[in-house]
Amino acid sequence: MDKKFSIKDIAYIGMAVALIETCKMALAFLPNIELTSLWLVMFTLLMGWKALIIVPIFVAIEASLYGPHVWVIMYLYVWPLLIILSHTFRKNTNVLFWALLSGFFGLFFGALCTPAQVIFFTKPDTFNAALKAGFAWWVAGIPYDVVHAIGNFSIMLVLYTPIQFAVNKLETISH
Amino acid sequence: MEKKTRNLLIGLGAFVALIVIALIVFNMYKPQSQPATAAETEIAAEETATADEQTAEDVADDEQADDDQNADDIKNIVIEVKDSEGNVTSYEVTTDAEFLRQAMDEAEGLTYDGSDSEYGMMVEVVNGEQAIYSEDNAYWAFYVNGEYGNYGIDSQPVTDGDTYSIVYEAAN
Repeated sequence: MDKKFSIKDIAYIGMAVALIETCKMALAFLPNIELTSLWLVMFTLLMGWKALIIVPIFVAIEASLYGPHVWVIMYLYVWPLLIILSHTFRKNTNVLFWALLSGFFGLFFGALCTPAQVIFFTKPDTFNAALKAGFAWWVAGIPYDVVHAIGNFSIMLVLYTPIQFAVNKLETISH
Repeated sequence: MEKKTRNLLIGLGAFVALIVIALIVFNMYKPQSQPATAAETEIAAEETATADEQTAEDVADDEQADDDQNADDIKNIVIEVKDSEGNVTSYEVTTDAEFLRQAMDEAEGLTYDGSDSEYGMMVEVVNGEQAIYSEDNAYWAFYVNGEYGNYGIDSQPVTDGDTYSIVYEAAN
């Protein structure tokens, strides 16, 4: 794959960010039910490493909409992790595999965000207190992590095949 | 069974198992409205004893109050201050205060200071001893009859016969 961003890549990035934002807003009333994971996986399978650029753009839009806070730091390392994982396993075509990957990612989302929470709120000499607060923060979010896991798993299970079909078609048309 | 399928089924099992484990962890450590660490429980136990003694006095007081209808708004309370060295100073206050802050103002010999926050005053100095979390890694904790207080001094209601403890607590 070419290392430079082509016009097609830029168009894909635009599509990805627009889809992620639209789906996020449309599903905002359901806590932790999201299509962001699905789209990031799908665009990674389509674009490879170049999909990493989607994250900072989407985070910049989110930050300008909701105001930046510690979640910006979390997003900037948690979402790229999903892209790295997806790219590593890109040759896999089993629906259940992708549903599981997405589900595990949802389940560990809170745990993955906790280090940033701890580091952000720690002060000199109070690292232990921040660690305890971080643990409590993660535990308090577990029900949402479980919802996230089940949501991600089900969404990927249902949508992987049709979207892969559409993506493949997109690739054929654009060549 | 094909190896790939088997691995995926193991993965699915692990996924379900982890969800269950996560929910168990949540149930074990879930946030409680009245957190109690070992140190707090100790204080609570001490203060329950004090509170029990008080209940006897309380009944006597109540009987008196029944005789004297004018005493409706007058409350007899105890404010205790436990400093960083564990020394306890008690103040018996007779007050018509609605909230703790006014009762603290009326307690003779008790001094305090703090900073104003959206929840009322955040007490930082009591009887000249400072406990600011970010500077001293300690704070002034409030207990009502040995139970961890849920309110600041501006919103803590004063009830006849109660013991209000202001305790210097070091963060771990």
